[in-house]
Amino acid sequence: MSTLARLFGSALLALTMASDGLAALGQAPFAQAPVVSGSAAPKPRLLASGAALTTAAYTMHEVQLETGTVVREFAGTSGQVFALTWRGPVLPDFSQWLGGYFGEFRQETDQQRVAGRRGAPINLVQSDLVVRSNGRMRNFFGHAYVPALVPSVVNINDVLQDVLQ
Amino acid sequence: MMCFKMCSSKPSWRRVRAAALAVFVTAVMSACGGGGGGSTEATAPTQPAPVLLANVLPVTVDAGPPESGYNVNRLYTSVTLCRPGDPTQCRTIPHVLVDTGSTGLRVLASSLGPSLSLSPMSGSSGLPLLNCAQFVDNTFTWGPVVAADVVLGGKTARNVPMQLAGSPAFDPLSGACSSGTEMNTATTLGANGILGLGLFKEDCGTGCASVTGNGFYYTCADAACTATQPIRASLAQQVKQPVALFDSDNNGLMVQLPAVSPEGSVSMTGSVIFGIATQANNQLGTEALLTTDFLGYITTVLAGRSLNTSFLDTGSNALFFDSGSIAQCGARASGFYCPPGPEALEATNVGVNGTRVPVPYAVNNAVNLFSSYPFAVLPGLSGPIGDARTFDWGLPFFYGRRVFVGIQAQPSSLGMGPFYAF
Repeated sequence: MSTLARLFGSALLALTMASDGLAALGQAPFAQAPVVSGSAAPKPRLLASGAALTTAAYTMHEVQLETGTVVREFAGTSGQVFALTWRGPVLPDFSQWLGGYFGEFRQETDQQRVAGRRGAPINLVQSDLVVRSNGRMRNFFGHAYVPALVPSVVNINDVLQDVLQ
Repeated sequence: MMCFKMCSSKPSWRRVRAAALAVFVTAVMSACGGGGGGSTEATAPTQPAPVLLANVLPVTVDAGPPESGYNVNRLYTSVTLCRPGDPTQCRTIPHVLVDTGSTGLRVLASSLGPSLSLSPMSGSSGLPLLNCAQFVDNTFTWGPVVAADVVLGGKTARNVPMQLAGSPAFDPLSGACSSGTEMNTATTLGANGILGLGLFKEDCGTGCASVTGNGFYYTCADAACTATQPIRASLAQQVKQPVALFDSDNNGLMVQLPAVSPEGSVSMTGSVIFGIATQANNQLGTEALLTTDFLGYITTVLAGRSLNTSFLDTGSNALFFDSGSIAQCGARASGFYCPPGPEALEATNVGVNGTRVPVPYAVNNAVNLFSSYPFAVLPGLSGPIGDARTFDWGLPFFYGRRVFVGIQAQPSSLGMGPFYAF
């Protein structure tokens, strides 16, 4: 568990997603979702939406999950999330964070496993979706992006260089 | 005879204790009464019983349990589970995956059969403690934490918290764990369980003892268990690396697999040897000691780049790393490399302690390797990882080597874990 998680542990900000429609690739950033207090929705629970970094081409929001995992989402000037990175003790809930791309992600990863790639990091490179998921129990990290949504002035590799530590 | 059939076995503690003193005959695994149903695995031909030391666990690489899909480069063993304190209530589970990349024992509830019932442990709420184990390939296992005496070769770890995966009573609630694919059958898991023999003592560690929504541990929200809620789990309650719970030979283990020719083989047998520098059979020879960082990573230097989240993992079935030059396979072997012929490469593994070990390795054409079916041992099977900082040294790395895994905070004459030596 990161120091950050312990830091926020005593002052839990129970942000919950207002709807499944937010927080996903291709949609508005999770970090900008309306704050809902209370614990009606079981997950995902956020400890805080932390640092934001704005460049001319995109804005990065950092979200600290209660599990200790940190997700960064990158949104273009249109407000659409075009990329995510994550690092922490457990994986983020991909059905939430990948939004409408989750079905494709699950189908492709299942297919690769059946074809013989087992216990292996995910290296999914499709024309409409790239997901790379790595690590082991206790420490996972990775990124996802939608090539078509990456702003033309942005080099996606520069964005992904911004590895969470 | 060795019994590979799913059946009740009846090891006696006296026999186990005797084994700790001298030699141990694998008969402990073979006292199979044939009880219990549900077996689909064939019985192996009768062979003379090999004489093994107590700290030796036989392992195999083969095609896995029947009807469990295409399994290559997967390391299996048999695990005997007993009701805590009762050596008459046991069951031997074949084809449990040996995984140095995870921590703790997870066994399919369906492989236990009706003859052995293990009671769920309770969380602080008094209701069953449920465990969520996520794996990197968008899979997970889910189920109650139960306590069992775990017999591995001639060694017994008592009262080990472990996960009963795919337990029907709790499976409808698996969505709390992950939106990925649940491995709750031999078909989805490609095994009857996972024996996590990684660098750490617990699957989660101190984070789960202090944070409620930790992502690993849940409990029932009500007595009928119609819903779950997150819960903290003390270190004592967490799913454990069983080796650290042995009364001796408990500071680590060594995976010893034979070398294999480049074209591979149908199967292979080897050993996991418990303890590091505790017995004549687990002394460090020419192997070098590489300490890891606190997350269990070492650095691999590949083509001048330092990949500092690299690791050794028997649970990955190939070498996964990025190459700028090796061709990837087409749809026939998606996710693997397909050089025109075998390609010899070299990388250097570097420990946190600065020790550097050159590692020559080979990449072979995956389509050609797969065409050797039913070969299950495929050295040279490799694929891209898509990560600029990681080399995942999967099972092919272990062929022809002795690889030591030093467990976190367990002392040995080589120092304190976590470390690798090879």
